[in-house]
Amino acid sequence: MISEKPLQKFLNELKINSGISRSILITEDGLLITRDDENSNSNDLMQNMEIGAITAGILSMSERLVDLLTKQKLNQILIKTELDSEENGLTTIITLVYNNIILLVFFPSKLNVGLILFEIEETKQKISDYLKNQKGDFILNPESVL
Amino acid sequence: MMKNHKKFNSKFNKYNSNENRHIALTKILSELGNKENISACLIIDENGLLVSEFINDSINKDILTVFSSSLNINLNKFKGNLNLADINFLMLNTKNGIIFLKEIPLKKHKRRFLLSIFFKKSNNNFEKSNIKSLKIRYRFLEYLYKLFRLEYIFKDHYFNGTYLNNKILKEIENVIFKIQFIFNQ
Repeated sequence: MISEKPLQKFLNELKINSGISRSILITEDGLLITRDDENSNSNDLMQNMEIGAITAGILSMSERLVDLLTKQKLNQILIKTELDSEENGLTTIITLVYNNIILLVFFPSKLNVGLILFEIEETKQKISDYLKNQKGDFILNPESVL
Repeated sequence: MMKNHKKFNSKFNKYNSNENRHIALTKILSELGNKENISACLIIDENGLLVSEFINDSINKDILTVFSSSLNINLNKFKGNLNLADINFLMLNTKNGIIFLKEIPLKKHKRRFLLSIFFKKSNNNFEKSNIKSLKIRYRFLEYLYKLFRLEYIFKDHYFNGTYLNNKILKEIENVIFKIQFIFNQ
């Protein structure tokens, strides 16, 4: 049986290890699966759902572009803001974790991308191992849909 | 055995706390950088992306990262053609600085990071005065060697301005051990 708690635990570990500001797990359609502990109030929830929907749009367009150019599968998208001032900039990494599950990570641009990618890879492995070993229905919060 | 275990834990406790890896790595690199008068110290991943950094000078870290990474990739590409075993470390020696590269294997993750250190020689006089002092020291050591038949004593006396001495190499080994500890937890 798959529940939200372990997935949330993986996201919290990612946050502690790497110092990222936020992480969300969504489906390919942009529906929220879970997010780390610190952005679980109602305002954040609305924002997370919005982010999920926008990410789904970005993903579908990027997939189409990659398909057009290389006929290969999309794996990761990196979005950087505020290139001039690294202090205030925010970087987003969108990674395909398992089948149609997507991990979204937001972190300040001053953090090193190499370390964040390493941590994401570790979390990706944990999530996919967990999902592979589980059978049955998903048990999630009412606002979370898979 | 128990004592050793306690000693190890107390020594590495500061890197094994609630702190994230980013802070722990920065701490380790800055410790090394401040101790050994290093201009820049970087940890780079296999794709040439920066994992952690310590910059003590006006050095373009991006250029140093790309340079170190491409050098390492090419070395690994051609070492097979030359029938060379694993490279221990790579040192580029110029008139005003030394670039030191060493791979950090992370067995648990089946990956390798690269440690790139840039030592800058501050002025030319440093080198000249060092040659003089080293010549005197060398003669004294030669005398000691003849007197006591000590072989190992020469190992530690590479010229400080041209080569890295054993003390720095040991410090670097220590840093690599700490980095491996952080990632293999």
